[in-house]
Amino acid sequence: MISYLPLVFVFPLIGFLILAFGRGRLSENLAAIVGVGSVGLSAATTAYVGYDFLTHLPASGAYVVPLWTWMSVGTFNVEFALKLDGLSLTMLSVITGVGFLIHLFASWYMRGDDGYGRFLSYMNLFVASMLFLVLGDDLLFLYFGWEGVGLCSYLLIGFWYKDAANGAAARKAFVITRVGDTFMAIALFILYREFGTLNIDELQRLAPQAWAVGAPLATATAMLLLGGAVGKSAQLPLQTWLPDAMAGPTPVSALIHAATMVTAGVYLIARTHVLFELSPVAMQWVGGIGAVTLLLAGFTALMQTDIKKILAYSTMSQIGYMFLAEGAGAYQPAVFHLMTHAFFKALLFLSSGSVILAMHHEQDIFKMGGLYKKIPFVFACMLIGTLALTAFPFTSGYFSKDEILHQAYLTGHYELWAAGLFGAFLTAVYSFRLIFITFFGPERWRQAQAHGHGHGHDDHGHGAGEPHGAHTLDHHIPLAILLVLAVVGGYIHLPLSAVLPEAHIAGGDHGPAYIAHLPFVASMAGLVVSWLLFLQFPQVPAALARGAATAWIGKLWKNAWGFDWLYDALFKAPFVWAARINRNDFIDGLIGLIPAGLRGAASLATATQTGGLRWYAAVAGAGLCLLIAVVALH
Amino acid sequence: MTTSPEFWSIAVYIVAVLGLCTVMLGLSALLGGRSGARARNEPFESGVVSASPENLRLSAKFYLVAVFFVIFDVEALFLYAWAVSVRESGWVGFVEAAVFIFILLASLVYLARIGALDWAPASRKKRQALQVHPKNQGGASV
Amino acid sequence: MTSVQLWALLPLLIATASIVATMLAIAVYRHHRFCASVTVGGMNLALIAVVYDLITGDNLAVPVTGLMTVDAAARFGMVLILVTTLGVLTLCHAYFEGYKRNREEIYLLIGLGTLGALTLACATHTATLLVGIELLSLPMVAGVAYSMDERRAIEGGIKYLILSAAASAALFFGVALIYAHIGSLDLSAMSQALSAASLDQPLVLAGAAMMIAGLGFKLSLVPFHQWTPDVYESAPTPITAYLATVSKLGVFVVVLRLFHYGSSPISPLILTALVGLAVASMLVGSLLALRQNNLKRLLAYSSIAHFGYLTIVLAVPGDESLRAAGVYLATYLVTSLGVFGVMALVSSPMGERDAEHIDDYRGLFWRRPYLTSILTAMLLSLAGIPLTAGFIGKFAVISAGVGAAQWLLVGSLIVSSAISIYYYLRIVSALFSAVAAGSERVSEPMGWAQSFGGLMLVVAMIVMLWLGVYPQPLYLLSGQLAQH
Repeated sequence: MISYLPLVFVFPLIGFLILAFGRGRLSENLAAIVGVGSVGLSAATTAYVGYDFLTHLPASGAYVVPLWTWMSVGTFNVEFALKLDGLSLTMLSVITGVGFLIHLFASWYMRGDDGYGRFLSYMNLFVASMLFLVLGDDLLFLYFGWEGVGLCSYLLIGFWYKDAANGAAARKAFVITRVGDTFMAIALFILYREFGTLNIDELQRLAPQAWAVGAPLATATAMLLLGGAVGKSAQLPLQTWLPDAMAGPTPVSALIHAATMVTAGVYLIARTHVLFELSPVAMQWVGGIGAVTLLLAGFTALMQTDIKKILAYSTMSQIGYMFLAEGAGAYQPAVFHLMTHAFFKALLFLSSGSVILAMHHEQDIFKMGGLYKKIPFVFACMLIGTLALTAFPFTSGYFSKDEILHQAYLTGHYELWAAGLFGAFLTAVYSFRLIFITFFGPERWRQAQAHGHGHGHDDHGHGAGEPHGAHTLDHHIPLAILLVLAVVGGYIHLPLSAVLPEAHIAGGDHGPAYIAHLPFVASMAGLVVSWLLFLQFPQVPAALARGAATAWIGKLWKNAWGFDWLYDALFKAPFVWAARINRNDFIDGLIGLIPAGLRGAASLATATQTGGLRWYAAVAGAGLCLLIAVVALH
Repeated sequence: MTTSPEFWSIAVYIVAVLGLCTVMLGLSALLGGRSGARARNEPFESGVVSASPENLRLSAKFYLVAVFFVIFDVEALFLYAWAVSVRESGWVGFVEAAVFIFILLASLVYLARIGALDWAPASRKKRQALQVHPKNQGGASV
Repeated sequence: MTSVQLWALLPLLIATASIVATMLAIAVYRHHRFCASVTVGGMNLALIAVVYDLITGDNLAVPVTGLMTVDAAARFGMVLILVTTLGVLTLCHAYFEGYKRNREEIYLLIGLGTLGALTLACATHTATLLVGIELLSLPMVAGVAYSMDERRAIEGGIKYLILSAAASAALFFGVALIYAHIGSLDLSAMSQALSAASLDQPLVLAGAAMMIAGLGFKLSLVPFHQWTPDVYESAPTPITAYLATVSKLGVFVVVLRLFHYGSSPISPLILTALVGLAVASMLVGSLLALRQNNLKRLLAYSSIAHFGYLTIVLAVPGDESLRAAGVYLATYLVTSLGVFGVMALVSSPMGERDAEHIDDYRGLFWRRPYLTSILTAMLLSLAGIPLTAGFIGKFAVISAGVGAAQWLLVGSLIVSSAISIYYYLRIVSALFSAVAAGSERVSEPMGWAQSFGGLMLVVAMIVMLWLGVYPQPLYLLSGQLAQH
């Protein structure tokens, strides 16, 4: 049974190849069948293998399927094996399951787009790379998948490449994650140098033997790995790419920039948790970064007007929760939250995609309003997703977020717990702001329409017209399934205990009983505040926007605390400045000496090729004499 | 560099070869008489004055025939070597010789078929064939 | 002659038989596809014989009459030779289809050359070496001059004839000198003498130098390389492919037997000469290719550099470097076949002139995307870009060189590779550059993929990528070279 495991990523890979080579030749329907079907088959295989895994739990907690020896030159030996344990099975299920639903939705969403086949081929390649990432038992293969998903992310953000802004967003995402990848690569170099292997099991066995807790090298390695994770998961300080990544089609945002790829950092830390445990400093950093990111992103989300950007910042903040949990040593809740987040965030993104299409490609929530009557099903999806996001009791998010906060408290990380609690309040405020403004209140799109008609030359082609809902099955089914998952996903029991350790609960101190109810109270408070501010008294935010100090803070939040500006000033501006003063490129001049020298040498060498037979014979004869002289008269 | 007798013998051999060449060329240059007359640069063919320029083109067939002679005659020489040891080499030798002869025969067939053994080129042969039966040609053209 | 020996020699016997059969086929029924099929069939049978021997036998060394030994290394060499020959034969079929004069004799010539290469792969005696080398070179003289109507072809043929004869003379003079010292013509004895050569053995040293010169000519190592571009340019493209691959492959197996198979590492004196040759070949080869606009000449120069890389393995004792040599040879063969294959297919219908100038390839992508993709991949492989076979080969050679701390050689390889990327990418950029309508130089046939040559190219492409992604089987197979 377990030997079917490779099929899981082979199916999407084949799908990718068919779509890539059949581009322009496959009809939309055929492309949809190949693209969606390959991921569907992959999901089915996962279900089959997963069932087998759970019914025949291996003693060691993991099945290893050796595939082949990739290369063996002397002592350099790279073997490729797939590893299936509770953690990779969880990731596998999320990637293929949620991935399949999103593919299905995308096949509806992208209808009529010029690059339909291209889109699906990239998506399939992404799924294959992501599966590679979670299945490899070797950090080298994890890195391979890591770069693969980075490439797909780049391709898909810039999918509508005809708009230069999308290309810039794609480039930004690629370059910034690249910074993190470089850290990670250096970590791999250190590990290989120290232990001579990149096999994860081997590393987990060898590292505690070689390194004492808090050893400088262990800290350096863990910090570098954290650098990689931070880049991929859009955490501080490498978080700035994620909002721009919303330039891609909405299913991409759902799959890559919410459900799967951005959580790869969380996965990486969980996967190499033994290395992190060796460095308390790095653990503190993990938790600290998570806490700060979730707060900063929460404030930023409050001020956004673009529906997808709100969701992007909320993703950032939810991943902050996962980091926070891992920093507290609570890996299992982190991965649990990863899964539930995949469900409800995919649901939210897909619904928002549906909203955007219904509004004729309008993304500004202040041009929407009152939509609950127009698209009730999408509204229901959005509402359930938001409830799960704000950890409303008995939705999936409730279980996972509650457990994170509870364990953070129990392990004695009170500052993380407090940050998380405040974050829960913020989450509720900005999430319900999105719901209230989009689906309730005045129907602002009518004004926009009238406005557009008033000027008489609205040639932008959007912002006009009645919102229209979708009525096809490939739109409803993914949303419906995700809706169910977002509700009941919290009851899933993950088989993680064999892979990830329990959090170290300090001395049986369970704290006062009300601790467990505080997150719910915080969310409710957020809901009420949001209701008051954005539905009952919309004049209050408007008044705040007029006050000098509050307006300044609002602007700061709206621009995500000015990180983009800061990085521009710190890195881009000096670079551009250096490039400008070096316009004649002094160093290039020096480097230019090399080709010039080579060119000279080449013309000298070419001059020897006269074409004359006698000359050739003479040169060969001279060469022979030289050779004899070298050998015999050493 | 230490020396060994064989090296000396080779060295002596090389010196002797070079010396002989030098002596032969040098002596003739030194001792030979020089004359510069009008006819000196003309080709010398047993006293007969040459009738045409010397760079006339011989038919390639001459070379072909020479090459065929070398190939078949020299290769037939191997059979002599076999002939004196027919009994010693036994059936294996016989089979090998048979294969050898077969390959020679096959190449002969090949040469014959591609027209390498015909003296006249294919184009002239066609012309000659037409001259033998001029009436056919004439009849056809009328 | 026992049945075991006959069985071991079967590939050579089949190759011989197929040559005679081709000759008779031409005599009986002069038809292009028929005669080609006879040769191709024979070579396939020979290949099956070797592969069968490899799979079923215990791969023992079978000495045959003291002149030849069919061992694992020989079988490995024979497989490579026969596979490459088959590739070249398919190219010939596509290329000569439109040729006006006799087309069938080219198969005879290639068959003879291959027989010579097979002989070289099994040679353990200088007599066999002589026969093999001449059998390999002489048909190629005719092959180079095959398009007799062109002055250039005749010129190339004569150059190759004279220089190759001179090189053979040097080689056998060297053999004679060493024979004078050790009193044996056996290659293993010679190899022993070469490893033990010391300063008080001037005969052996001088002989070694002359042998290196002779063999270096055949492998076109600097400074014995100058014939290469002229001959490659004047030969028909499939013959150029043959010269660049099979012809060098056979000689290289002998070189390995002479300079690598000794029981002790090679003498430092000879090593110096080999290192010098390798460094010069890598650097000069790449420099010469740098600004070359003629693709055939460029590939000639690049083959000089490539055999410079390969010479590194001679400087590294041990089985690992032999493995590297096997890997490198196989990847080089596949890639060269691919490049020359595309050139041959692009050239064949032109008749009067081969497509060899870089301008002929400008914007080819927009007309023949698949063919161009193959050419691009093959060029990248020659440049040694990762995920291609060429990278694996280069990686193997570098790791061998690093293992033996041959820093000069490894450094030269890296410098040369860096230069080479420039001239390979120059072609690639020409392939993809925009071209004004109507200025298309080459009109290659649409149905290239249906021809055997096209099929061969597709297979070569798959093999090349497969080796680049998953080289382990090749590593295992190359271990054959270490069993002798």
